[in-house]
Amino acid sequence: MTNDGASPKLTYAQIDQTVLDTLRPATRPYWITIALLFLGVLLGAACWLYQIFSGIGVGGQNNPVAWGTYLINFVFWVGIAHSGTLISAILHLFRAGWRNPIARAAETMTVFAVCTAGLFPFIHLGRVWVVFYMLPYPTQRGLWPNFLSPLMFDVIAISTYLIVSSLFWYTGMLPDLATVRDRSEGLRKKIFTILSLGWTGEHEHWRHFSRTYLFFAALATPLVISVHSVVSWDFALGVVPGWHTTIFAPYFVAGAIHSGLAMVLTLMIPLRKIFHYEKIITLSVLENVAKTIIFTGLIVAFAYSTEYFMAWYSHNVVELETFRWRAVGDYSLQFWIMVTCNTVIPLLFFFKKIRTTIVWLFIISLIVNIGMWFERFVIIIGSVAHDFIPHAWGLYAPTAIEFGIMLGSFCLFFFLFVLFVKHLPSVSMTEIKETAHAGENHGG
Amino acid sequence: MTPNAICTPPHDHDTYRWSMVVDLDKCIGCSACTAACYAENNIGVAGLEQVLKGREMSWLRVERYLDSDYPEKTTFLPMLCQHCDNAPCEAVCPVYAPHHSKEGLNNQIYNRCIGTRFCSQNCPYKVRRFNWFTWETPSPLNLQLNPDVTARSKGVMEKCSFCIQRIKFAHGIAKDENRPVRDGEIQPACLQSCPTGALIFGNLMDPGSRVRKLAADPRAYQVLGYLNTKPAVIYLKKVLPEI
Amino acid sequence: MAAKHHVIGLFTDENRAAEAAARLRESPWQLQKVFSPIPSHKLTDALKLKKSPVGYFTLCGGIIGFICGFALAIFTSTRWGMIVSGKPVVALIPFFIVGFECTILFAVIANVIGMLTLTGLPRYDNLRYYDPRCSGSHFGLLASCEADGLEKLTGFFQQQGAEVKVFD
Repeated sequence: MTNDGASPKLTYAQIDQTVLDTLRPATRPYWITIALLFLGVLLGAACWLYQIFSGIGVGGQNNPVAWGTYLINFVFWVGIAHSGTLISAILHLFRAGWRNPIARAAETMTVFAVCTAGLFPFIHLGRVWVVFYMLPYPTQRGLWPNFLSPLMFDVIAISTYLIVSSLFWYTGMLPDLATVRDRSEGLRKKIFTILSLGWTGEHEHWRHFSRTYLFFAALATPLVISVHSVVSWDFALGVVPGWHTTIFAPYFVAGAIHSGLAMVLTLMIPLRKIFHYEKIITLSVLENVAKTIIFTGLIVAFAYSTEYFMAWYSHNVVELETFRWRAVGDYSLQFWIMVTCNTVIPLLFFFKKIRTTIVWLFIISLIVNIGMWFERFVIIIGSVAHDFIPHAWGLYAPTAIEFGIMLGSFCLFFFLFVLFVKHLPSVSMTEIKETAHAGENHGG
Repeated sequence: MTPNAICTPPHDHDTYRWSMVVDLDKCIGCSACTAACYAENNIGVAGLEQVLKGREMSWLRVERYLDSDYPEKTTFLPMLCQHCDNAPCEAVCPVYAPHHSKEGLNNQIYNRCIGTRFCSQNCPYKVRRFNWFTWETPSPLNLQLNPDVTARSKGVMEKCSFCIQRIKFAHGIAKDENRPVRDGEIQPACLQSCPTGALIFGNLMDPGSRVRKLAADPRAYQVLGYLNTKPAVIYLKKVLPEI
Repeated sequence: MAAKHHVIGLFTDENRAAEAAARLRESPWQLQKVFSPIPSHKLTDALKLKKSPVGYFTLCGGIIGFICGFALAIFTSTRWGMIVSGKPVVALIPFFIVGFECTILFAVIANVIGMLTLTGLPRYDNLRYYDPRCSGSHFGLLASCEADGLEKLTGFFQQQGAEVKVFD
């Protein structure tokens, strides 16, 4: 194990102190932020209610573009969720020590991003009040859902992902909850006593816990890959040119991790600054994330070019036209935003100066987030807007209601995240101690 | 296109496999079929503003293709639900709202539809229509609604049913008279109102039916046939002087 | 019956704690529990602990999940028996996805149940013989002895360099 994650100079007590300091009673700016974010959530909820009572037509969807920003945001948030599991599970299996300082926050990001993503299929439905038709439960009429549909794969995959990532997050937090319990008084002590389930860190607890955690990681890894593959099959199992390709599953998984890592940087940089985590979330951790972004960015670039190659190689008129139109048609601006933000700009991380400068890291992470949003726009909107029959071609533009719901979703995510960082340990004390400890031994 | 490829569906069809032949040579693009369809099937009238947003509700549209080299030349192509045997819309629905009947119809169950709109996205012909709102039928327009057809409300998908109410009606009469449905007995609304007889409806399983004979015509083709959706709507190509 | 005494020896050094734990095992005193703030391999070695059997729970959960998921998809599709898109009613490839997701779901739930069963959590009475510092930076060895052996046991801990705390 490497010790580049946490500074080995930190003692256990200092680690505890740094993390527990973040749980001190919140200040006025904190509550103002919470209130503003909550207002944003209310705004989104109001837009949704208005849509339920009026009809989906208050959005910009039409024929042929019947899927709009709701599914763009769905895929976007599911994508964001993915790198949390990458960091907490896959890098755990690889024993990458640099993951430890950011694993908890990334896992939290996963849980909340899945929650946010999970709302969008509901928002998207024409008749959300009969959504229970999709649940496989016995009814008097013997009606069952259709398990051939990619949307049913989604129902199962996303709900599994939500349950698994929540359980993973909570189980991993048990030792830390006990630490908070032992360092607090009054009501908070009572709450954390219940939450920590009576964890004492005795050898029998650790013996089973370590093994459980390993299996969690081993199960979450194929799950995370399957979930975004399933999301990609929502498109790839269709016949629409631009959707119907076998590259979609790996392409989407790479894209998801690309956007998720960018979101990790976006969240970690302010978190680190505000909570004085500089010694725990060191610059080298952020640098490692940036290096991984170069890698995922290159995979995404490869996927983009493969799509063009396949379109050219197929000699299929419809396929060729779709991809020609993507680059020079009505949505060419969005296409070039996508290409530039996702594949060209992350290459700046090749320069050590840029990937070790906080401001640059933050700006590029935002740019990648924007680029990945537009990637979903180009795929979802761009493909159906210009498919087989020229007479049925059409365009789409989101409406104010859609932007309201989108704003609400971002507010919901940050609302939950801001609540979390102040009320639960946002860095895993246990794992930092392990890393610090390993470093100590390494040196000795 | 060999007639065999058209007539051999993968399904076990029960005596009937409803089909429509569209003779593009005869189509004059008058859109009477579209108007008749609106009247017969209680299709919502979206209004100018919504139509401009791309929310026209017509189950049947007449596509016009113009040639920039010959501005006076126009090709019309009536496009309606193709009732594909391998319909891309069916498998993607999570609740079986669109599914295939024994008689080869692609049925849409409005009560079951939850409005994912995946079927519409996956339809290569883009003939499915979604109810973006509950369309209004201000009095006295409500009096002209067809009592044989459900009126749809917001949030459900709908599309051409081959006038299933008329198919059912013909079935009823045939059953009373203890005989199979005769060729030409069923007239969907579009066909009934077509002034040139460009539309022909019938049973592909019946070797003597007009549609079966026309399916063997050298002009016969299916739109986007290479997708292997196996449509039940067969077009007869327009014969052009330059070809 | 003579009252038992519970004594906890707190170490700041992992190596010392492991050493003391190994010695305690061979001593007449009963080593009840070893608390540590991190999962420590040295302590595991000193106590000669075996691997946790929680994996069996996980495996069973996974197998049950796969069968349930696959069976659910097959059962429900045969209820209607409708051909959609010209595909078979029981289509094994798509149903494998359902089976796969259920495998993961059930395995994870069984994993958690396994951990809770094996550790006996949640329980709130085991905080009686516990020192809060053990969740921070201290390694604690909880040992018990008969009333008359108390002095010897505390002496042992002090000799090992531990801070001793006696519970009533």
